[in-house]
Amino acid sequence: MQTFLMALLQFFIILIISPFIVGLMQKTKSLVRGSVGPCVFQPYFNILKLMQKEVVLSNQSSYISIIAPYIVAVVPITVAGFLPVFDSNTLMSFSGDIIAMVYILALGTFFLALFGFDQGSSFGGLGSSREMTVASLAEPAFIMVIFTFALQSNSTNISHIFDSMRGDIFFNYPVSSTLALMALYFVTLAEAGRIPIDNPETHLELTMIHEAMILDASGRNLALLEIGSFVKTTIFLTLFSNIFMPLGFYDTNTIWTIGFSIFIYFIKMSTLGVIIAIGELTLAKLRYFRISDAMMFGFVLALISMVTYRL
Amino acid sequence: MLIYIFLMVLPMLFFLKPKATFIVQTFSSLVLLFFSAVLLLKHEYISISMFHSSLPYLDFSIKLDSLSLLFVMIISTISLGVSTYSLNYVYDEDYHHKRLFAFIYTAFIASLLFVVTSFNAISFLIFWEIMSTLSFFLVIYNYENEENRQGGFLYIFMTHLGTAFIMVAFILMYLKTGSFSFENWVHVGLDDSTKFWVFLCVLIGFGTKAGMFPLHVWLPKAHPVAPSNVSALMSGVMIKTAIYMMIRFYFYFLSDIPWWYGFIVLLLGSLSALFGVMYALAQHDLKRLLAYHSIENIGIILMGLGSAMLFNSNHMPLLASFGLLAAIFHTYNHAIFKSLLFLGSGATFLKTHTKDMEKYGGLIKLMPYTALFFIIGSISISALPPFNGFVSEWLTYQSLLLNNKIDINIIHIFVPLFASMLALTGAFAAACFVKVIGISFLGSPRSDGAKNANEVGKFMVWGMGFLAALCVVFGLFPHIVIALVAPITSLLLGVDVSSSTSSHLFMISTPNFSFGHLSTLGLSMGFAVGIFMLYILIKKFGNTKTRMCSTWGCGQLNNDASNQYTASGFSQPIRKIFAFFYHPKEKIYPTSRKKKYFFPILEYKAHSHDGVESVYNLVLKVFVKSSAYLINLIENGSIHIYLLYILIASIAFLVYAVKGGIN
Repeated sequence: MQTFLMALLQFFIILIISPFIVGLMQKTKSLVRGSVGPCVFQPYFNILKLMQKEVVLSNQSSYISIIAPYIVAVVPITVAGFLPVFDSNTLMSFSGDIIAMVYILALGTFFLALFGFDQGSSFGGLGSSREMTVASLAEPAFIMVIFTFALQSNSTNISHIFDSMRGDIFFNYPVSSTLALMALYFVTLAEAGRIPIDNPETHLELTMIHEAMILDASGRNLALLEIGSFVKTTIFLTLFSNIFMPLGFYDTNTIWTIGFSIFIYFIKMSTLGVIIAIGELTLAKLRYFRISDAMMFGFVLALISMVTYRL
Repeated sequence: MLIYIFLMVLPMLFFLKPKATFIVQTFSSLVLLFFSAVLLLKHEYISISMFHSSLPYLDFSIKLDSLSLLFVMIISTISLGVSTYSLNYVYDEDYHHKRLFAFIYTAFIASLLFVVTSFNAISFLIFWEIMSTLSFFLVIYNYENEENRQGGFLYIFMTHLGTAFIMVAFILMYLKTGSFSFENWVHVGLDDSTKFWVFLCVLIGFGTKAGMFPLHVWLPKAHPVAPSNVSALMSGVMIKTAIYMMIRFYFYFLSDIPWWYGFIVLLLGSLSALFGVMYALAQHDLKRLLAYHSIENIGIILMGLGSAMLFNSNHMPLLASFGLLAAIFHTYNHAIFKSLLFLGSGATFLKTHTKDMEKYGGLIKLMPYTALFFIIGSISISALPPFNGFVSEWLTYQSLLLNNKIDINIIHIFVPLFASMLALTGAFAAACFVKVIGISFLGSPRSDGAKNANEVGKFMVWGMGFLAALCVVFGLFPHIVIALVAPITSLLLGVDVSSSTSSHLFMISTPNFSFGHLSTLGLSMGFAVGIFMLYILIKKFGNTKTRMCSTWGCGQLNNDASNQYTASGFSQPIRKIFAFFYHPKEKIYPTSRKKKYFFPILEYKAHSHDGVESVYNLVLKVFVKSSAYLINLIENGSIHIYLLYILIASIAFLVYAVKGGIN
């Protein structure tokens, strides 16, 4: 019972902080640019506001437009159930491993792309095409990184990887792990749709990928899609900070240590969010056909990491 | 157990009444499926020697061991779905000579069944040839089309090329064992060079049939032109008979194979997978796209097979059984969802009268059942959870990851590379099916054909529904298939795979449980609970009103269907990024010369080549040219030269006769 409660607690922590992380990134960018910017809690208000608005659907659309937002939202939420925040007992760990996780996330992308097509506008199709291309290009690097970590910790179970990475694996293979983390950074940028791959702030057809697909969404549909993208960003940051580089504090003995672990997790996530936001500011968005180079670079890093682990 | 054979040939007797043929075929498939499942689970195997002819070596023996039984199950599953579908399809499509069609169709299914049950090399070859020839007839069934004839001839040419290699392999085995019976070939000890030649001939011979890269050129030409129910059988089942024989040879007949045999199969598998899906992405002919996806999936099956061979050659039977499970599971899955998709493409073709995806659109509203089943099939083939394709792809990944337990450096470096190729394949497949669904089923109709489409007949819906239901059932309850594969692994490797992978309820795992596990049922429960929660949340706190409005057209008012994204446009980024692979030729030109400068109507044409095909074309061109040159040299049209030939020939014969007479 206690493990179940802890699992539930971890699950909800990831869900609850995810809009905050995105808000924090926005705030950081505004501050560095010299403007005040919206409040860090603005994404929460956005979701609440959107939920209370009615949905405007295209008369071309089918039931895909109705079910796709739910699936796009529920997929990252399910994946959030896989990830440990401070304890290796997670809510959904019985039902899959890290390879399954990659494919579950792909299910969300699949339905998001279908949603883009459903209104019969050229914007949606354009976004879907770009999104699927970027997702395809990021996939090999992602699987390669996962293979490296799975071989290092001799398991594909997320909890198991978490436990063994917390030991001394990271320091046993420092070069390999660092390179894999660098590769994962590129994958994170692509999957979470950040600069230099995609710009979440613009609505110009030249630059946008993710925003183009959800252009026709409104009301609760848009709220669900936003929840999906927030949680997805948080998932990748959690993967980064908690699974593959677990430098932190994990203790579940007393309620105080649990609280402290959560606090450390929170600090780590915020730091990562700020780092990514500053990284975004220093880079220009890549031309669309240059994204393949960035992804190839990520893949090569992952490959070198695999080879260095093996040698 | 003559009932078995009786069931196989029974539907052929009804060919005078095509409708009755399909009904009988449906029921006999159902009975066969049921019987085979029972026999497989009860570990009862039948062997009969039917007919000893007076000709030397020729005897028809049939044996149903676990491997054959599973393939009989695959064939009868697909035949059940496809025959139900045909009840409507053959009449709606209005083929001429329906009796002939029904006869060839059932004879084709019967020959498939005999191929996987024959236990003698000669009888196997006879049925193999019958199968190839009948499928050739079915490919060219609408022989009025030039395209059909060309595809058919390429097919019959390639398949006989393959058969030649198969014969060489069989003859080599005969020379070593002195028998054509498969019984005597089991785990035969061959010397290294013979083993290599047998391996190579089997790989080329059956690889041609399976559509393995680079022997795949016939597949995307022949499969799309056949009637859709036949394409479903060919892609779903016929190419699997080649996989069946590969498993038989590499795990049952050959023993102590070197590790690099498995490595070659793995390499070819990953290349087939990647190349198949990349060519598929560039297609906008729906059936040709599906045919390229067959190449991809054969690649994935071969990857599972190759990793199982690697384990087997390193004496790790437990892990080998796991790899074999991945391969056979994917074989079954691919049979199901590929025939489902071909049937779906047949339904859209029937109603819109075109195979070009660019002319579909909005079919989800006009053909709701077909669209639903097609989407289920697409999710399965893109290996997305929680359907069946995902489970077998997960197993393939795990078996690749476990390959690292083999202590060979090349494997350590290359296998992760193959895995990332598999990842790229999976992602491209998903992109490709987003394209197919998005362009053909969503949005608004792009042509009059698509505008006037309506739902297909009820038997077609049932046929597709049956296969779609299997996609879901096998995805959520993979234990069913594992239980069916377990007797095969105990036959071939002496290890029961089900005890190591399905020890926990509703959960499949790698042989070492802590290494990785998966519960698709748990996942889908998670999805269901999550969606329910979100729904409640919105119901309680949100707004549930919906207003319909026309799509935003950026301020423009003409919202006609041509404003939508196209299939070629969808795959254009990938074509451009991988330009070194596709060699795309793109051209934009005005349709009429008069309106060249002011508001010209432009036409865009994009074309990409299959690189392998051009290599084949080049080789054939050189071959044909040089042989034509030789023929031209000999037969140069001058009657004097011909007379000279006759003279030389008669003198030669005379000399021979005189010499021979002396002896």
